[in-house]
Amino acid sequence: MSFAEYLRQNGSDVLEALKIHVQLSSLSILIAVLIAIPTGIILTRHDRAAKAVLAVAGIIQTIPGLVMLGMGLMLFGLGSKPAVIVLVAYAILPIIQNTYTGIKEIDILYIEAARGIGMSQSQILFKVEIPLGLPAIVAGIRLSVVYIISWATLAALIGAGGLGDLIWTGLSSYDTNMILAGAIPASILSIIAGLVIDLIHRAVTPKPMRIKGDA
Amino acid sequence: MVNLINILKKYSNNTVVNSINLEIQDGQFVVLIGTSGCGKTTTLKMINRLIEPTSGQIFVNGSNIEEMNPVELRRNIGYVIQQIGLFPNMTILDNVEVVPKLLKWPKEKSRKRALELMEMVDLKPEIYAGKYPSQLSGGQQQRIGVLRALAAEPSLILMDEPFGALDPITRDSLQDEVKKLHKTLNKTFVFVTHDMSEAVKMADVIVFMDKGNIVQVAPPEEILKNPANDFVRSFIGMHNVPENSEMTVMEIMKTNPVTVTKNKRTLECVSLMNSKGIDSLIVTDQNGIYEGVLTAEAIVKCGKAGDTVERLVDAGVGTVLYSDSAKDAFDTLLGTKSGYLVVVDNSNKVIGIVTRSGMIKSMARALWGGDGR
Repeated sequence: MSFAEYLRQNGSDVLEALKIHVQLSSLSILIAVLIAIPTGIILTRHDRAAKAVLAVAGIIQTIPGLVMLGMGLMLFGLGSKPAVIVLVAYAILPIIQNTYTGIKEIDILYIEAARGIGMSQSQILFKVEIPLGLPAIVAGIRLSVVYIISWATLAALIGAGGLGDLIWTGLSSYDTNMILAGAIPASILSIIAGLVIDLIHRAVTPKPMRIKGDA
Repeated sequence: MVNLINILKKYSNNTVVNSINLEIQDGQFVVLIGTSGCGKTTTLKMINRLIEPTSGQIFVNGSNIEEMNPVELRRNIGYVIQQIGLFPNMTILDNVEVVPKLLKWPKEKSRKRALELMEMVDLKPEIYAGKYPSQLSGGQQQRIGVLRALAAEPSLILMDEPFGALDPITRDSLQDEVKKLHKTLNKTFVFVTHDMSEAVKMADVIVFMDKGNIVQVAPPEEILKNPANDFVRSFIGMHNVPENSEMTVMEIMKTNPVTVTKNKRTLECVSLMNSKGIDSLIVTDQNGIYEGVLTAEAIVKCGKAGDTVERLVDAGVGTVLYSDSAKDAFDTLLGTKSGYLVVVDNSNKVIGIVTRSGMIKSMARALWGGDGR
């Protein structure tokens, strides 16, 4: 059976898996962003805590994905809930890291100027720090999105479904078409997500900063 | 009016500002000057509470600033820093409008004010309003930095070495502009610098600081005439020595002089003089080593068409070494008939000439400012 024929027969299954995959990934990234950006910002105000948090997050990052999924399975059981928890744990670090460094690396003179002309703490954050740190923050999100879409294929192992289901089932039954039906959409998804975020990255970077990277 | 009463600032055991008292009248241009570490910037930053004094009180327009919300206070005091600090993510217009917006001015009003200010310093809004700071030169950026400080019509403006990072020409024109703004707007300026000539140019009153103390408060003429102590005197002296006293011939000479070799023929030399619009040529050997000068006069008097110019070369015109001091060259030049000197390097190779007009131009620039060359 050719791959095209396989898709004709199982198209709806593949679409369903793709849908689950997208849901799983976007839910994870959404939660990760909501946790990581505020955390990153808070850490810029607490240098000592920042070191500790970034170190712990770094350690989490080094644990192999399968081990984490296994732990997720033990702690939270089967299904999409443990999968999302594990994916979020992975996605958080690059975003925290980039939010933290993105804001920390803003030249102190802008903060001083902002203070000197009478901006409050929150105005400095929203009018100066976040806009100037945004390109770095978006870059962190991009990294996480691409990671998550590929790691979400592993999540099928603990019953979360998605394109990983097709890949793992295909692997265990020597069904090349099935493997491809999982792997190709997963790759395309990851590439498209990357491109979309690149566009966002461009959009949030003020025109003259696009070329030079700084002011 | 700004009143500093017994202002003391200590960092652990290090006294930065030592119980100073200072009264600044409305509309005055006050310059705080001193060497680095004298406490001038700290004093300035205590006026808008970027730094809190250890003890003492500061009154701005009669209110004790300690009792005011620092954010509100700063919005009503203009602030310009050396590093300019325009927000790179905002357009020029947004940068100028930023304080009126913080003060929640109506949109129309803050827009109108911003455009008005840009016109005032000759930055045409139709060209610059939509640009970003990085697209402007340093001088233009600091013009906008000054406008940002003026936008919300504060009665008091603090400037922390605002022109320290600019080149001399740009600095000069910005000084003129700020001085003009001061005259037309009738606002109080407190200005920090370590440059005596800047202080003399800008100030109504100079506040001279040393090691956290105020040493002298007086108009510029008074400080120059009667410095309060040796330190002030030496500081003024240090800064009064013209920067160009060490100028060398190298800096005032014209390069690429017109040279010929002595085997050239007279007609050839005459046409060369005509085409360059000059009346003499420098004669060198094949390697550019100086041999003398050939004047049109000599050709007219003794030259024959078709002869080489060898016979006509006058070896008597003085030369100076490129590393000689410009002053010595000037003295030599005054003593010559020719009106110019040939500049040679250590191997007697011709590298330029010093003319009277060139010398005058260099001196004018040294005296009245310019690019120093």
